[in-house]
Amino acid sequence: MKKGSDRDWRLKLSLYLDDALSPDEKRGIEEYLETHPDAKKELNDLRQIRSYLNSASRVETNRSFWPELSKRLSEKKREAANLLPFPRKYVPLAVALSTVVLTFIGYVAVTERGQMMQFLSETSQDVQRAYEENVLKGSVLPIFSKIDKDQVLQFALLGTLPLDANAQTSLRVDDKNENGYRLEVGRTETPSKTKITVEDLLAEVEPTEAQAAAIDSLLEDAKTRIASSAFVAENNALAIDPEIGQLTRVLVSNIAANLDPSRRERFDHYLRGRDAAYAIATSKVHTPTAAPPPHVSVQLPRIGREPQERQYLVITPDTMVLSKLFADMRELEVAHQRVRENREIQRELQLVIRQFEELQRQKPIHRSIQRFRVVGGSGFVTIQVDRDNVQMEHDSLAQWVIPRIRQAGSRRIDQRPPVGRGEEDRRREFFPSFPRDSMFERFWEDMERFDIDVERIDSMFREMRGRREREYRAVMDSMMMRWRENQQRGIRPDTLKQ
Amino acid sequence: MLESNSKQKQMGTYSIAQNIPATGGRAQTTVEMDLEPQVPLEKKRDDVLITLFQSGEEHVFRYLVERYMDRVRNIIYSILREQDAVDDLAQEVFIKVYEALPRFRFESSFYTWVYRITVNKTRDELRRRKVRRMFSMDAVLERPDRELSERLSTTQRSSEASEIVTRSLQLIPEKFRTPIVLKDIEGMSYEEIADVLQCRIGTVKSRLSRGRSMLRKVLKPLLEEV
Repeated sequence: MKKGSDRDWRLKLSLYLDDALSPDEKRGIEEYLETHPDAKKELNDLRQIRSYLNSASRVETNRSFWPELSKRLSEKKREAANLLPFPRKYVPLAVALSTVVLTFIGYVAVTERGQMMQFLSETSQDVQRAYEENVLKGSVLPIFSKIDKDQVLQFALLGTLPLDANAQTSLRVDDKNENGYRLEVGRTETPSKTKITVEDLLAEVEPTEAQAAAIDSLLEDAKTRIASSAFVAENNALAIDPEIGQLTRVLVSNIAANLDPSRRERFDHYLRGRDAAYAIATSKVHTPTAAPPPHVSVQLPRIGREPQERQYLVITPDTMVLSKLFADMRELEVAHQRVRENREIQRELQLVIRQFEELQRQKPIHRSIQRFRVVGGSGFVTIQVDRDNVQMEHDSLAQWVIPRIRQAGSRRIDQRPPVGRGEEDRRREFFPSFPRDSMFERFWEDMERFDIDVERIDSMFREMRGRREREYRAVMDSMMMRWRENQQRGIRPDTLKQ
Repeated sequence: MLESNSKQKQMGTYSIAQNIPATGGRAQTTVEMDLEPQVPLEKKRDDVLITLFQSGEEHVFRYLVERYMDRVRNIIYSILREQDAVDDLAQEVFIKVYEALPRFRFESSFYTWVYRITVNKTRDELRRRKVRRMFSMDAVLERPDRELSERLSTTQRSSEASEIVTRSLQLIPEKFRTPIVLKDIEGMSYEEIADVLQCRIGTVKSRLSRGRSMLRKVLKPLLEEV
């Protein structure tokens, strides 16, 4: 028997078993069975199987089935009642409406995504628009387009950059806190007496030709970067690249990294002699490095994203916005040519600062976005930048130096007089993430009074980095107590071991 | 709880058309039915209980459950052959029935509708567990379960033989197994099986025939002994 007919035969046998054949078909099957014992055996087998299945054990009745089911149904009803603010029959309608709304939002988001992103990223569209228009029209002035390499070096070492020829106004950077840093634009209280020049640096460090070339190219790179880091606009707005606060450390680190150990030691000595804000990290002083390639310019590592994507903090007395600005430096420099000296920049800047000062008098300013905080004061504007917020791709080179505690009188930012409130209150309010600095303040006077070696404190201070605030406070308290006791006994502090 | 203590309404005839939403321009069909006011709830016909349920008497759902729970549980047991899973799955079936019952349109009999839900739920469960037997019948015959084979050759009692046959059923693919369960265990007609499985009657006949042949091959040792 062929396979095709075999299947047909089995189908007929199955139907015969179920008594589902016509009388003629049934008769035909029965005649076939008479003459084919195998077929008859197969039919008997199928009958036997069916009888076994018929008598198969049934699952036992479960008397708790309904109570359990009823409980589950009640829970489901309760959940449905809790979840839906409308009758269940409106669910399809609600789903349809939601789909329409979401589709519409999705469509708008896709087609208008550029505008939406702009809208979402700005806290003040007006300021953004006005500022960008100003940039395009050239009425925005780059504040540092005329600085020289000596000034760049001074900025790297001291964190200050004069804004005018007489250095009456300056940009100051304080990078001493691990939680962030501060940028301050304001009147210079005590202009630096130390003259810092590249010539002095080269004379003292005596770098090789390649090292000198590397230092020169680093300063040139930093100069370019500083030039595009701060602008003032005629509409009383100030735009600052918040990453400029890192530039000082990155620059000093890179200079150190391009020197050999012996010259690095000289550079460290040079930094200390100039009361720089940084010292070479103890672990890095003797670290050997590859000599910089001769006659090849060395560039600073990019601190954040690509320049085209740099974000600026745009502040006016009324608003504050973190936004990308596409500043065409060449166009701005052309515009800048029309500006005589720096006087116009100076005037605009003073106007912005004065407005902040005025606002501070009327009502304390505490404006913040995304952990950027701005506070105005008597002749200055301070921007507090929390470290988490900036795209700080800290190059390992930036770790070659660490902040050091400078001599009293050189701490310009912290010496600002209080405005409106007590100094402690003001600091707490505006700079809550600077516990170490404020703690250090508490001990400063004591240290000066007891003639404690500031350099020594500095090294201890560095060792304590990373410890918790409470631990730090306890250690400092105990240290100070011991110093006071020993001072009274006439013991020199340098004989003490902590 | 679903068991309502409210006094049962005195019910006479009832138009089920009021529960059927009018569709398009078609004339609304009105079916007058006798709601059997004298018959106790547990003995009322399915369509009467469903109509009462759809009119808000949700407590009658209990009588539908009690009427079909054993059959539903048995189908699940016959297909899965796993006692532990039966009650959970059966409850899911009745939850589905409860949720869909307000929209039940009497286009098929209630019990084939419930069986359909049962079979679908069981299939979902099988799919979920990925226990579908993907191997061919020949493969089954080439390496039969050793324990089963031994028992097939030594069994004497018909109850045990019956147990073995139902266990052997698990060795054939689900699409051939379910028609056998519905026909030879549940005693359903071809038309009802086609309604439950949502396929043509010819397909049911074909699957039954092939399934039975497969089962016969699996059970050959037992059948030879008998």
